[in-house]
Amino acid sequence: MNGFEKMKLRTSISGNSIRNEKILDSRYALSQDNENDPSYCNTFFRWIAGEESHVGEQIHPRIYGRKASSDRIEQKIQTLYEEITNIGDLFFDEKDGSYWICTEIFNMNEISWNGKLIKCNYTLTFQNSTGTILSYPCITSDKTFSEDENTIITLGANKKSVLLPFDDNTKLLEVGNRMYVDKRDNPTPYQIIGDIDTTTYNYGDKGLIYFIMQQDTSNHPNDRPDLGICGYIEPNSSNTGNTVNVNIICSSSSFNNKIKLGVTYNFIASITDVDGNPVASVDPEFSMDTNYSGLLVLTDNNNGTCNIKVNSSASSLVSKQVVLTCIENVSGQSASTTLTIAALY
Amino acid sequence: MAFSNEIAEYKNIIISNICDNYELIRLIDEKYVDNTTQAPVNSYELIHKKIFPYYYNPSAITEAISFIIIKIDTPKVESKLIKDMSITITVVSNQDIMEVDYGTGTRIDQMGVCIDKLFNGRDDLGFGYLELASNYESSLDTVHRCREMKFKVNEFNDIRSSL
Repeated sequence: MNGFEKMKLRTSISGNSIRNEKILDSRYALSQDNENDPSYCNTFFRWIAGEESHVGEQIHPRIYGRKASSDRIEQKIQTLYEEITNIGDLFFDEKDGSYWICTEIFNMNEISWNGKLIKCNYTLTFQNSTGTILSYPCITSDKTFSEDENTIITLGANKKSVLLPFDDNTKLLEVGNRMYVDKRDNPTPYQIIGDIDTTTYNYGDKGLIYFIMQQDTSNHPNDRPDLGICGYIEPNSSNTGNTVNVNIICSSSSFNNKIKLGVTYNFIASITDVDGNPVASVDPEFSMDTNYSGLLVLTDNNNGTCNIKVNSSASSLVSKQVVLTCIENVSGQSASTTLTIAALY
Repeated sequence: MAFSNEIAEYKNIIISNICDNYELIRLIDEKYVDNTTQAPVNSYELIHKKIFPYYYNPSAITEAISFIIIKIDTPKVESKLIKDMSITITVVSNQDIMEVDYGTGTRIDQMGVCIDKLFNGRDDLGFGYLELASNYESSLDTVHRCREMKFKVNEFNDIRSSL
């Protein structure tokens, strides 16, 4: 890059117009002063729900406007512009172990994200068709969910409303699905009734899913209150009846689950039957739980291998983790491995 | 960049480029290249073993190997805005393996050529072009011979000038 190119780059970085320059200056001012404000929260993390729920990357929000009402606790949030937030995002506050769902978010003139979080009061646990146990912090209540307090209706006896993030797992919930919505040792099962609403809160890339559940007093022999699962099925008992084992192996023999900045790693899906023999006619597919806004690139080579590379300049990601999952689409079996991002040297 | 953040960033770029260079990795350790595809293989595993982001003391080495050591200095601060950066890349080889059965020159001569090709004249470190300031052949100790190559470039000093 010669001097003129660098000058053009410098101009574009500082903003190609007065408006852009003001926006970038405001972002910079916010980022410089963000952690000095008493409302800054240094214990807030994204929560990755679903299979093997875990803490995701830390975000650096300001928390304010706390409010409690008869059926919810809410607070307002402001995050830096780089920390993109969507309706339906889940967060974990390490300070008190609480979970929060984002129910409102606005892009404030490309300077920051401002919105509202509602505290989760229960963790819903259920299984998908392959028996994988999934858990989601949610908001449950004996009233309907609405932002307008004048339109909240108390549900009839033995009914609860449930508000969850909308994603690839929760969208598969159907009317008739049974789940425990009770903290006691001998919990009460509930069944989804009525219409599952996936559009009222369909905003942004994620959104919320909302449904009503009614108490189910019938006996089901497969209910497992010890696991918190209604109608428990053994994992790996997929619809196809084929049982395969999926493992993710790195092509480097000395791999220690650390992926260094700027280095390309190759992973191979090892798919075997119960006797350890390779299985033919498989369709493995790789995915990650986050790509850190494009700084982490996964390339599925469509041949049972994939490459992962972290941007060599992404030093802010050092020590962060990512879960690499391989799903074998014929059997529905999957495997996951947690990778930690490390510096190059 | 400012506040000496560029030191780690430069080392990242230098080490990445070294690890991606087939000819250089072949001269350091042939086990980490694929001669069929002429590409390095898992060469990042050589970091802290044969590619050191600091001046490694070779007195602890017992086997005959070749390696690279890197250091970065700020020899002069011109002004509040500009400072000089000096990047010293030293290619080292045990004298018992100086002879190479391919190419022209000793092992450290050929490694020096690779380093010169990789870094001399590039413009993504600092601003302006990276210049080769000196290239000396020397010794680190009684058995290790080296070629010390110094590059210089300007860098921003004050954060208000940082990109």
